[in-house]
Amino acid sequence: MKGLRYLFFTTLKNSIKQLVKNPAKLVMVLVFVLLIGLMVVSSLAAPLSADELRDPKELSAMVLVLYGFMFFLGSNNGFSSGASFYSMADVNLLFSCPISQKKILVYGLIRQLQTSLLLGFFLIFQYGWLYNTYGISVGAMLAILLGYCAVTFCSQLTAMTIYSFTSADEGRKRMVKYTMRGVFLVLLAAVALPLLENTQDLLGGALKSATAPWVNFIPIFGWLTAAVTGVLAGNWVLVAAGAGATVVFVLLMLVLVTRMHADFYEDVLKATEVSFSAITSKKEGQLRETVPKNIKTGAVGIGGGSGASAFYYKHKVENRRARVFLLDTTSLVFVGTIWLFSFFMRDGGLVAVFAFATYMQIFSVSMGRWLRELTLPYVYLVPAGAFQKLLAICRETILKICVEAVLVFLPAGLILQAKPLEIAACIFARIGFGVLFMAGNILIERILGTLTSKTLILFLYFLILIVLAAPGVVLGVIVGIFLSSTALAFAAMAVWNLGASILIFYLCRDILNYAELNNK
Amino acid sequence: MFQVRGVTKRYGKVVANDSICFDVKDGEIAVLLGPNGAGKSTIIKCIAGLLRFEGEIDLCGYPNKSLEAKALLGYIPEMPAVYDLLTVSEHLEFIARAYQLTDWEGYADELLSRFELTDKKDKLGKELSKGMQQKVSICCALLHRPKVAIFDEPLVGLDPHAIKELKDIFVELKQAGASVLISTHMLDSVEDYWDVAHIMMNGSFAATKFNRPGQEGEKTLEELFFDITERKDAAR
Repeated sequence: MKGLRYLFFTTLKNSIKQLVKNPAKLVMVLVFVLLIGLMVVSSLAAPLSADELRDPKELSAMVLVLYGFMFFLGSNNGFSSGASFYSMADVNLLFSCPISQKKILVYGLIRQLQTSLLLGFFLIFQYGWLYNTYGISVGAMLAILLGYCAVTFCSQLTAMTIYSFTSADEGRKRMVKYTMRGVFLVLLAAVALPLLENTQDLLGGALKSATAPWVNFIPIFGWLTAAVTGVLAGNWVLVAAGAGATVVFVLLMLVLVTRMHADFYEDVLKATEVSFSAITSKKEGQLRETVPKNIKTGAVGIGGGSGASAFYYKHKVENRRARVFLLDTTSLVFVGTIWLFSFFMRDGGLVAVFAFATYMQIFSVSMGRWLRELTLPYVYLVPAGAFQKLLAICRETILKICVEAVLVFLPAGLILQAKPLEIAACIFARIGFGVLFMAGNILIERILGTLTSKTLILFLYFLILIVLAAPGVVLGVIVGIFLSSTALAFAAMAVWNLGASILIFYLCRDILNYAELNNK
Repeated sequence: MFQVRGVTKRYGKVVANDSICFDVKDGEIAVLLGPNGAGKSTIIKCIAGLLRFEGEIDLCGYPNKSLEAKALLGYIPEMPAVYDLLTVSEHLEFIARAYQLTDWEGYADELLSRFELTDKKDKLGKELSKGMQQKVSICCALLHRPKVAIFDEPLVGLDPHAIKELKDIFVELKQAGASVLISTHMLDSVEDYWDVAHIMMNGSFAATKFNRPGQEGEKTLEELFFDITERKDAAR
């Protein structure tokens, strides 16, 4: 145990030392802390009127959906590679050490708790709007965060148990997989079917279903939602019941893992290797895409293109293999999330939905195939004009941005009962932002290509995006106020964004001659 | 031929290459030797036009970032560069289209056959082992019959058949008048065919040796390598 304690505390100490030694990371952490502090203070300083607050049941429903999604997503890994609490160094050095497996399991659990806590930090940034909409306290926010960490932790543990139980037996794997999916569908139906009875008030119906008492009995995410709802409502019996049931579940899973398989090393080995290769490729700057496990190759051949345009045709083949029909899975999840957001925030209007959608867009644009192209040498080596190559590798993403804009705002506009002109302007503005974010990425590559600190690059990327987008937003607000037209405000924003993007594309037209191969 | 004139590459305060000058003539095989971190891969990436640098690099009289130079260059990276979602044959078709090659199919089949990839033609990049990915990378770099070929640790991960085949290809490139530069740690892998060897230490050339068989009293490549690298290591 001494060795494990030494390893844990030395790793912790060294990561803090690294933070102090690395000013960019330190500045980023300080900025994050400052932002959180500012957000909490400014939110608490603003007076809240109880009449303006929305029903806290909505918050409970959102927590249920988030926790449920995280739990199913995490535990589903148990059917492929399992889940691992360990790093490759743990596997190579610790597993061969003369230390009891149970102690190593405890060490892994503590490490996993640490990771889950870090993963949940993004939730704190939601405090501002949660306070303004539901008037929640800092304590309640922390409860949501802790619940999130617990769900992530339990999903990993469940994945590990599922893997241990099913990895050696395909029949058993199928049985557990279909049972879990069946349970998921039954739960979904239980929430969705009552909605059909009253189509007039879908939101009310969905809320009623998602906050029904039986939901509190769903293992893990139901229990943890109950605990969080208990904190929100000051019902400590609910908190104790939800948290207690979760603790019992964790203990049960631990007993199952250690009893069922005396040797769990083999079970975590594959998952560790999978996550190690993902981490390594991330460190090397290679953006890995999530491709289906079994790919249907289909027709073979690039089928078109000559010189620079060969890249675009290659992207089309890659999209077909990745089963991208119009949009990839992650983008479709984003689109669905925005629809849901517009459904729940119908009173907020088109502007609130647009702001939320633009925030999500930053992440979807940064996953385009063109960025992956920059990490391989071919785009620099092919003897074609740098600007032609730049346009060819961006073509697929630009098309995706346009399709996504229509897919997002046509339904969202209908949900919000916006005017056709407003919807069209919104689509146009979203395309503008998409192209601007892409241009921001190109600008970063052009001016910061030699920087080796990925953290600093990310920090400056957000800063540059804010600087590029700010004039458009200001212009939109001014046009909106003076001409009293939402459609014109969106159009003004789009004009600025597209103009700025065209200028950046023009100034960075030689980027593929000067960019560093981004795979350091 | 290609010429490297006063190339310096910095990563922040770290000087990875310091005023490097050398050239590789037509039909010549040059090798870059040196311990880890000596700057071999950096100079290779500079020649391939993948990094910014100070100085000049010309390939067959063209600046290395010009389209003419790119059309003449073949680069085999240290880490295999393949697309996960393209099949082996599609990698070659993509290169042929991007380089606007004509009548490339016969040579593509020959390369695949030499590297025992014919039966893997329809396999996707992600389904290949690292060694096979390296073979695909090599085929892609050779398909357009480069006049300048630069290899960064090309033998790592290859099976004995592919190593033998690649060594033959080095010699064939030389006979065809191409300029070949190979960076490697494996001294014994290059002893049969090198013309000139540059030993790198701390970002610059510590010694250059020409292959003149039968010259008495001259140190072998291995002796020279250890003489330089271990002496300097001790002195540091």
